[in-house]
Amino acid sequence: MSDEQKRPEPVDKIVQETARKAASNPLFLASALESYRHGAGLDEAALVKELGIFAEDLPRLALCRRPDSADSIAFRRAVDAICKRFSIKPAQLANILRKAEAYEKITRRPEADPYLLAARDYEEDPLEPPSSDGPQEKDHE
Amino acid sequence: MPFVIDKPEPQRGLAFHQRLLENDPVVTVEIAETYLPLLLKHLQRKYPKVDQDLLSDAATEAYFNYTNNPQSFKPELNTGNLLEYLKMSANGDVKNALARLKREQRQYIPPDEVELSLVAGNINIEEEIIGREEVTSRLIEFKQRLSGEFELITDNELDRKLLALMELKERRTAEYARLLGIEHLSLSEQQKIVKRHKDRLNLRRKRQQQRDSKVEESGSNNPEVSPTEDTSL
Repeated sequence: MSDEQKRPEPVDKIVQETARKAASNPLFLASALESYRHGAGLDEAALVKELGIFAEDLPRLALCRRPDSADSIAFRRAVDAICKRFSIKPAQLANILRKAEAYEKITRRPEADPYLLAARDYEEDPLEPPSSDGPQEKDHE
Repeated sequence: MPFVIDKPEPQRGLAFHQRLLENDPVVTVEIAETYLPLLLKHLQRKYPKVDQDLLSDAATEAYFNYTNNPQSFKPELNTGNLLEYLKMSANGDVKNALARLKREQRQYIPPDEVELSLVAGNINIEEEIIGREEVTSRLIEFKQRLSGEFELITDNELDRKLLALMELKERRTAEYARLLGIEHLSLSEQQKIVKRHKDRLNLRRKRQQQRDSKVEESGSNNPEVSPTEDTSL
């Protein structure tokens, strides 16, 4: 993003909402950006700065198709296309995508992985923090 | 690159569609910016009295359905007009959501009446014999039993109310959302939050049952073991 670049128009509210919802859809870049943001402990402003884009373009970037890392040629082509549209350095976006994928592997819920599931023999309370005493959580008595 | 397009024509939609089929990663942004505002305006005009969040959800859902599965749009069957196809899809979502809400409203019975009808239902054959007084005493007993059970599970008044709804096999999200004060959120968000609360309370109930069974196993010989209130939340 250079100084002479024209600031883009903000997106419509419905587009912004859709970009937010796309964070839970693995087909959209929003999901990778969200994983990376959480993993790296960044807020949206820091992510925008790191990407070197205008804040107005973040929902647009989020609504791009997420490049598929399983196919290296298609991945590179998709990264290039996105970077060209948003004036991002391809290496920068590729790096973010790789890290996002790594964070996702680390934080993947055991339900999705039968090997991890086998290692877990207790139930989590979704609203309670994990107990430091291990699986046998004790209630306050 | 200009993204503001006054009115997409069928040709533009077909071009978007072709690029989507070819896995152009940027075309999804253009589709969103071109069609979502038009789609929402269409829904607002068609359903002026319907909740805005519901309409936004329907528009977004139509967009996601199409972009996730572009083959669902068949230009030869949909007069080649992507906007019309998206409108049709969003209209379907709104109609389904409205039908669901209507069904829920029709089935709505205030919880107190459900309690009475549950008791009455259980004694349908006997009710002429046992009479109204006994029904009342059974209702009081039922309420006391629930109240006692819930006290063991939680000391939180809101949680007890949620548990009461669960005990009555209430399945409508709207009822839980009303209690939780989250009616302003979209239906999908309400469903997520309600599910989280129900999962949490089911877990607590399960733990209480485990504690109860431990107490039963240890019998009355061990007075030190007694069910106690869970104050972890």
